[in-house]
Amino acid sequence: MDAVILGLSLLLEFDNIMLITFGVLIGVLVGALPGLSSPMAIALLTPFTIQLEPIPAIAMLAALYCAGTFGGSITAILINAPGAPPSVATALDGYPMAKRGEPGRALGLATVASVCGGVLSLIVFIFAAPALASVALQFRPPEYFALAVFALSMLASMTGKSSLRNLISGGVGVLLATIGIHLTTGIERFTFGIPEFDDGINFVPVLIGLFAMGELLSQSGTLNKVVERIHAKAMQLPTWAELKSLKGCILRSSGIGTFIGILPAEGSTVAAIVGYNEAKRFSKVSHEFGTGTPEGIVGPEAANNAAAGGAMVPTLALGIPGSGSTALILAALIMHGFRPGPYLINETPEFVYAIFGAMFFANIAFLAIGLVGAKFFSLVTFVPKNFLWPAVFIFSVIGAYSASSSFIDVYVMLTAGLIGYFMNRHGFGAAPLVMGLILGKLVEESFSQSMIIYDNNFFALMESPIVLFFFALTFINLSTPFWTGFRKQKANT
Amino acid sequence: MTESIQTPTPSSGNARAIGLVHPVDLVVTLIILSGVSYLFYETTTFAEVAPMFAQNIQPSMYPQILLIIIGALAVFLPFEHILLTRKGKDIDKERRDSIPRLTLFTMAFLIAIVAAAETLGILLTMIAISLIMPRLWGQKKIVPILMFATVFPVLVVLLFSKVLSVYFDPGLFGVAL
Repeated sequence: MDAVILGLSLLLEFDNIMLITFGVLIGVLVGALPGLSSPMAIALLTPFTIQLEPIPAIAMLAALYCAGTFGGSITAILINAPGAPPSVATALDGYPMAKRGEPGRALGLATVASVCGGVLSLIVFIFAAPALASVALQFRPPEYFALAVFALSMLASMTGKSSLRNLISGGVGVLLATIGIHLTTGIERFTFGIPEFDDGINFVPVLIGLFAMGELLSQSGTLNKVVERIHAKAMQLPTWAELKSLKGCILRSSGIGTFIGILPAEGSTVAAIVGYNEAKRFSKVSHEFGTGTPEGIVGPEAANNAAAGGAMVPTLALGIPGSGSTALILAALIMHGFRPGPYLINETPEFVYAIFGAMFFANIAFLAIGLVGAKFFSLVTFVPKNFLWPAVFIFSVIGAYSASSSFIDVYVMLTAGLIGYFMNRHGFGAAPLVMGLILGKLVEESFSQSMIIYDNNFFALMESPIVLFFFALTFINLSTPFWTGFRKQKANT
Repeated sequence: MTESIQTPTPSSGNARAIGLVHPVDLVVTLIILSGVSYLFYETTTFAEVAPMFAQNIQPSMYPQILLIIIGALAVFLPFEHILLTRKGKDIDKERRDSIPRLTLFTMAFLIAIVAAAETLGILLTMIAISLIMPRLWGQKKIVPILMFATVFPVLVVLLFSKVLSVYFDPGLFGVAL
């Protein structure tokens, strides 16, 4: 009980409230601006949080994460350009509804569904994270190794064009994590004589490069794209009767979103797509989907916001990122000197409650933002790209530099950005690479310790039923894309 | 489960036109395999330690396993388009057009400005970015550019140096606030 009070007391301090509000506003802003995303904003803000106390800093980033998912729906509805990937499905019915003269209603439905999905998933989070952490306390290195391998295998089913390319990206991320002095033997690996690499590659410049610089270069190719903007005067909350008729859809999508969020590597985008498809499948008016039906808006919106809360469960309880954004929050935790995982929750339980409080606050703030600020946030899309992206570049340079006041980090950031652009062009996602980078140390340490425990006999790992369970899941997960490909081919012929 | 909202799919005829081996992915595979080979060679130069001290896990073992896995996965890349086409995914959508000229210019600018950053110092670098990049990206009006280049970097430096205590390198010219 003390931990609950201590954690939630975070919300009683004015400075912390301001920080979380700042996180929410930045989140909605970057979510609303096409091209900018919450992972990018988290990557850019992380180096500056080093001056803050760890718990408020992480709470601010968590609030930003929630808000970024919501913010994307504003531009998805008003200009048919989803500000963030999780809002892609929202645009399918949100934009047609706005176009037929009901932008306020579309925004209202999206907001209420987001709040419901977000709050419901947080309730799951507050119970599931400590419970999962207690179970994970029993894990030894072999179980952790199997869990990390399973998490990496989930990259195969992450959103993106190709499972194979996601796995290669993840592998490269794990490889990047080997840069530096080998912990067991003290031997330098892949440092190429650069002393700054002795302690390993700094996460922050890589994250900024991949998410901000890579996107900047992609945006340079879309400067002439013209979008049709629909003006929204104010948000219109759904009526009680309408809400009652959508109750089932919201609850179902919230459950789906929370579950998908809890799965390692599966984030809000997958949740939104599944939420949309399930809303359509259960709908009595499924033929109207795509023309501006309310279920087509609340389905994906409840799911993608619920996934944000769900994704925090494995992130905090196991130290395994639930999505690309939570991988960045894990990187921030590591930067603040925490080792994410069950010990973090068991030794500092107030941490979980503080994150819960911040995300709860963020979800409630959506209502206020939707009611008061929807008009303003729809206007931010008018910011000219030829000023917006130079500003992003400036923040990227400062963010990378301030991580350790070293120009090497700026060079790393730029290199990561250039590589990120080409990776993106050829279908290799940045998020799997980041997941690999974050999980890399855990994989190597648990693998080495397991090999020592079992005297280099890899097959002895299978003695543990938990290891067997995770390896079985890994096998199923890796083989699924191939089976579905063959099944579809059979169906087509 | 994602088919219902996917972008238009390529025709199977398109896949047949490409053939068994996707030429662009073949180049990508060769680049990855070259990198993997070079890094594998690099791992052979890692110092070895006594087996007892290393507890039978030499520092090169784990990266070598990873490189083999990455290389093995990359070998399938040139053939992957067959499976992706069957699934209705268009892997060439983003790369069908050549890289826009502005993107190439932007890359060159980013490299040049980052290379000069240590000499210029952070403040001058920010001013240079604010002056050149909007112009490069098609902003024709000089007044907004000048306003942006004077106000934005100064605000950023004041915010981060005074509020967040970030140290800004003044560079060789010693320009700082």
